[in-house]
Amino acid sequence: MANKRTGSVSSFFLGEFFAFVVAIVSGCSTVTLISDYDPDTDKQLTALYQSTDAFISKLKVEISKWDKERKSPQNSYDTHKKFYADFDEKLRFLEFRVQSIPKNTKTQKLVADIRTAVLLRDEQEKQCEEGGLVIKVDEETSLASLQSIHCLRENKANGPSRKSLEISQRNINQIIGAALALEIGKKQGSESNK
Amino acid sequence: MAKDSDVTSENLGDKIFEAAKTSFGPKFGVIKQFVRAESEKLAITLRMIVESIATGAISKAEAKILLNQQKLAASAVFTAAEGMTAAAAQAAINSALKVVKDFVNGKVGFVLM
Repeated sequence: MANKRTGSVSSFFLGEFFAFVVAIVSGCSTVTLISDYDPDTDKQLTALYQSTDAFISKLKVEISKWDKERKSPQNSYDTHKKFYADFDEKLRFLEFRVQSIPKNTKTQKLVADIRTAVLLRDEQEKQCEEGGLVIKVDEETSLASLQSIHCLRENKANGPSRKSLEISQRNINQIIGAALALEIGKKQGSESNK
Repeated sequence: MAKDSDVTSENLGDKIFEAAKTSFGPKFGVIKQFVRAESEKLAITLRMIVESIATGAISKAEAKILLNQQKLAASAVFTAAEGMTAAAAQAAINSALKVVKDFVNGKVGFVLM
């Protein structure tokens, strides 16, 4: 009797366990290696691309193409400080968005790269406000941003050289473009499985 | 009599491989093209930095920052390529799973996949 009861209990649990395994496995007929395409990330990246590209183009317009020595007081750091504050705000929205999506480490890294390529870190910003950034000739630097070029002591009053703006624009566009290309790649991947 | 398009125990491996190859092949081509085009852009930017230092169009401080920024761009290109490869691999695996789904479910007698 006891054995029969134990047997029916164990077969009941076996049945439950089997149903549980089937429920798990049937829900797992696809594999996820990377997050899905996110239209909001795409939209926000496009907006960042447009705002930095337009900002750098505006600075370039102020400098003659033919006189490499010439700079413009219109391009002073103080005149354009607000752009960096606004960019920081927009980037924070995007950072929050990409961090909330699972399996999204590649996009998170690319968004961090955008920050490094455009903005100063907090401690660097302090130095920037205290008269401008200085890099000695024999010194290595971790500075890598457009804001750091703009806030060099030599550039603070009249802005960066035209050529450095051109090169920085190419670099930043390439980084944001890489993040956008990844989103498109995710979109194409998920569409092919429909 | 099984048709060529049917999945059987004998051709299961071939069918999985075929589905994965059909899905991954063209996407891998796109990733290769992306890396090639972006590498060319990196080369042009590097040449611009070198020439601008030589002509004095940029200062030494600017050059150091721009080179760091370019390293970042290079790393971003390969991060994106890695992600695109993962997305393509994911699509290939899922295509392969889709192909064998009916066969596996039919064999086990319940909806396993």
